Amino acid sequence: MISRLVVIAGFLALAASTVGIEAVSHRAGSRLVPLALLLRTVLSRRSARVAILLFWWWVGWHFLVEP
Amino acid sequence: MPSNNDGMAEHRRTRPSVIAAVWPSAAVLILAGSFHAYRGVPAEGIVFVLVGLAIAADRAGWLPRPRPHTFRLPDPRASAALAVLGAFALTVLPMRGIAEAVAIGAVGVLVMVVGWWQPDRTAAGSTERYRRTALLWCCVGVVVCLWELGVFLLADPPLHEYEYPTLSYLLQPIVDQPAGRGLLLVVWIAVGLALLRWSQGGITKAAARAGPSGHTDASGDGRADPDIGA
Repeated sequence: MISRLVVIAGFLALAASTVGIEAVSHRAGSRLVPLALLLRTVLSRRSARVAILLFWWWVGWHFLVEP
Repeated sequence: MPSNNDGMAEHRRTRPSVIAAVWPSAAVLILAGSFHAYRGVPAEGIVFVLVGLAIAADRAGWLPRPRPHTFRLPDPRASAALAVLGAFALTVLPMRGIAEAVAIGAVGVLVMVVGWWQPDRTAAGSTERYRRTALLWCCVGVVVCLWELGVFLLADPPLHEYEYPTLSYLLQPIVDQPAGRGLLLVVWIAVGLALLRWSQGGITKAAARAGPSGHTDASGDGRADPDIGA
């Protein structure tokens, strides 16, 4: 049971860190850029664009179709 | 018999191609494909490895350059409407049925075609701020993957999945409910359309309000960096 709680706590901590990074990036004077702006740059190249789109598609396939 | 100079020239010509062939995107996809095969879904593994190899071949210059084509995409408001309508259409299909597999498979093919043929852009993302943010998100991504991988190996599915629940194991019961499934579909479609829009240079209102290097611009003229709208 403890192992389950530790695993879930780990996922929650990671989710909180992503929200935190994004929140920090939107503050005035931040040393980070918002994720949408970063993705806009990353997605300008075909290799990264196709890879990210494939991961996006796989999320839908994995949860909705995969048995 | 080629002379030493010819050999050196050949070496100089081929080395960048080989380096390009192990481009990170390709390497990540091939690694992910291998993991899919290991976890017992070889079809997904094959898709990831094939796309990874295609990217490597493209980076190495071994594939013909696709004729760039800029596809007309829905704006954010139309995307939101499309996401709701698309989610509704997919929700009425039987769960995990052939029709749903065909529909989601077709979406994947369509998106890959759009992503591949979209022309590369010169983006203004080379500042220290961009590099720092990219590094941070890469670190988060690697930690998420390692955590999920560690949990998966400890779970040895399906033996210890309750004690060591993977992200899929935790979320699947929610997705199996009609409301959860509908919500996932709306978010999934909206994110997909946003990714395609961003790949053409479009940005969200929130990001557009950001300043020259990515944070809020007091002038409120809605320009995040010099090439927005280019």
